[in-house]
Amino acid sequence: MSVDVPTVREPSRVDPRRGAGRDVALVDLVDRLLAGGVVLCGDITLAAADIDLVRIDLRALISSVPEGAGTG
Amino acid sequence: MNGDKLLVAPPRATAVPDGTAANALSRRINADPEDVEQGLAQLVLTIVELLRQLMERQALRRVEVGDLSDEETERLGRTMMLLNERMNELKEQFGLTDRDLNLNLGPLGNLM
Amino acid sequence: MIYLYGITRPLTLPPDGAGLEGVALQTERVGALTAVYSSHDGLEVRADEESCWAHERAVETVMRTQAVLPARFGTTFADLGDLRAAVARDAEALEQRLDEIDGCVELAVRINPLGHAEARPATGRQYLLDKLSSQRQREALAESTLACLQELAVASRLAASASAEESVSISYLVKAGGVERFSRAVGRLQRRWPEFGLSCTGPWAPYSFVGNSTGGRA
Repeated sequence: MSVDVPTVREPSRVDPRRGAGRDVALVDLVDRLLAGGVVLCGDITLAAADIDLVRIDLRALISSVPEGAGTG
Repeated sequence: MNGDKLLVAPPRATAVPDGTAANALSRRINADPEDVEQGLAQLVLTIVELLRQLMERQALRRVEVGDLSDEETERLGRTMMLLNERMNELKEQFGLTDRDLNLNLGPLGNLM
Repeated sequence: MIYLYGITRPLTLPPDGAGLEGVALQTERVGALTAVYSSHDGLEVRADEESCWAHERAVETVMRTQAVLPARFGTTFADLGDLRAAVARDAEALEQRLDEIDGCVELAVRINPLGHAEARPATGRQYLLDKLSSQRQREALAESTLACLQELAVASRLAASASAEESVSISYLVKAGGVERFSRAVGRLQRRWPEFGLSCTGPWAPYSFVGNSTGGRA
């Protein structure tokens, strides 16, 4: 009886040396580095910061959606 | 230091929520400023995905409350299902993961 | 340009280590506090993997001996004068937070939904019911996780996530000596909820407990 073994498609950019554990740790670290930590009145300097303004506008959009608004 | 931060490993099937974190990370933060199309796709899909989730959450709330007819529930469900599938197709087409579409707003936290 | 890693109490010895770009760590005393930084000529700060680890390593170098408030990644100042002014402005709050996190580290717990291999729902109604069901399961697990791990922690913080799709992320402030016991508890939870993937990483510097991070209070 033959068995179908599902093929797992790996993203082509995966470095085979990377362990999944390292990725989990990296994700947790980055989340904290970017959204946590003390913010003193310095400049938050990140490359590709130009797009931030658009993101903030989107956030305002989320908070303005009223609860229980009817669907069409 | 990198590997020894993992105290409890997720089961293999889930390892990272989606895709490879490091790759998602570099796409999310080191976006090539020259790749305007990719950057635009990411932005547009983020907005669409946000709206899709808002709508889906509203749909679920209506189902929970129970004020929809069977026909309305079915119609709503089909629409959300198709929307979900279409989004997955688009994400795959542009090589974007859910993490890519969750823009970090700095002091405001994550978009979603 | 000055790149800031964290704020701590005055150190008896300068920290032995390097930060971004391999530049040596330096300290600047401001009243009852000390800023840990590195000095660069025109640094382009990119949040790539190497820089992120370099930032964390620099903070942990100090954390080995005393409490330190980690700075948000990418915090820079034109010169030491600006840095001094910024620290002096918030000095009181910074000192208070230092006391609050003294002797503690941060542990990150994540609840990941398992990959969707389920068949396409037969009806639209089923699609919605499935979603509702997994949403409730996830909420129940998040609550259960919070409740049982909270007892082993000084504080906890549920990351704000409006998305029902993404993983649930909870940060815990734990006494340095309680990390192992906490990890074992997460391991037990994981075995109890095999349909979800629980993970725990750390110890990290207490980024989520220094007052500026967003997210819901647990």
